[in-house]
Amino acid sequence: MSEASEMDRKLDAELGPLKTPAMSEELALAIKSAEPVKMRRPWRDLEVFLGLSIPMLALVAVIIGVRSDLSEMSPLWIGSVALVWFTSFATSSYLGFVPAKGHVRPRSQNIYQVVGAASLLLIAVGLFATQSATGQSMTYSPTFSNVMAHAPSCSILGVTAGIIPGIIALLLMRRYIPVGRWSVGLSLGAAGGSLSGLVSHLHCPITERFHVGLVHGGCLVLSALFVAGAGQVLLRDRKS
Amino acid sequence: MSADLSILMKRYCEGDPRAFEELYAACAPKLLRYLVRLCGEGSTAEDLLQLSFIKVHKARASYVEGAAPLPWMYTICHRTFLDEARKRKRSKVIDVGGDVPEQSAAIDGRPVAASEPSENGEKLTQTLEALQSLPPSQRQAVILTKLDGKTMKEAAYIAGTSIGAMKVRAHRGYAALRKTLAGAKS
Repeated sequence: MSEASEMDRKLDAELGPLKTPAMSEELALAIKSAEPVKMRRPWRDLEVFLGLSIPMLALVAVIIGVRSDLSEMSPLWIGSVALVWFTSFATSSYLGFVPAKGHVRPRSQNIYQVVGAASLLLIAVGLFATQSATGQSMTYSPTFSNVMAHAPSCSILGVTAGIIPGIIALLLMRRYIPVGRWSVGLSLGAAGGSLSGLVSHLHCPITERFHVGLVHGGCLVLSALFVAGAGQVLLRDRKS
Repeated sequence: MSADLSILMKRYCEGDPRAFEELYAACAPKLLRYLVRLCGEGSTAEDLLQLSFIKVHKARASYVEGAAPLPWMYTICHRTFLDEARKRKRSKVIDVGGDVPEQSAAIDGRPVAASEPSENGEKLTQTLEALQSLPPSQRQAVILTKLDGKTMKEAAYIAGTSIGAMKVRAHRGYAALRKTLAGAKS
């Protein structure tokens, strides 16, 4: 007999046979008055979220307009950057809504890995793979004061446009999630931040690498953290 | 078994209270065993079990059809245990010199002293005390993988960590437990 099973046997002997404990009054009452509920349908929620958030952010992009130097950029570069941001959006949305097959709880470990990797990748893309159109793009000397001076407008746009889809996603759930609230919020915030970062990229003509990397990429991080905080409130037990 | 439980869970979500009773009868003993080993105190474990089932009841709308409910319930039990332990630790700090909750020592991870009044306290022996002396994460890993017979994947899922981290915790916990028990014997 292995040490583990010997220890298990010992513990069982010491604890005695565990009978099914009687239900507490509070629990019995709650069950008695329970009404039927609609179970969560993760794929349907994901579809609704994609159907709402993509047109909404596309509309924002149309309203605020696209950058003037976009026509001068290489289509391959535009396509690659859009693909990276969109992949981050799609993956984060999927992980936020859809648990692993046969499970209820969100895939927290995968969420932390994907959100972490996406944040680093998108910041790195901005820092090291920025393209500039001579005479059309706006650039400046990369001093701390210059970066800070140009940060607020893009930050406000990016974070606001990122938080809104994230909150919509949390509202779509409208459920009490007892475990994994933080990771669900983080994931859905990162999804919103990815989409808003893409919109910022399409709108902002600044090609200074610290601005593109830290300000546009930072929108994803800030949105993820903000929505994760909101998730703690919106996905908690509302009656307690 | 898992398929039966998911069918029961579905019926319960659809408003059948008898399905909940069957689900409770099937899952409660396993979860109670887990909680007793986790907190080392029978009556506290029963309270935590009731709290956990209330959470399950309130969260039933977040259940995904066809999913296995038991690993989810284990996770809820573990979270309830941690929340309660934190709450008691906090109240202990506030209540310095005042009335410390009767079972605070047991639930916040330290062994229950022999002189402490508790229903099952006297039944717990050296082995269980050694288990209680482990840090909570290692204790959980040992309980899930060595005692409850969960696979590393299942245990990692319940603990919300990676399989690699669960392996490390279980190995360290088991090594520490063996050392403590060997020390006690000699």
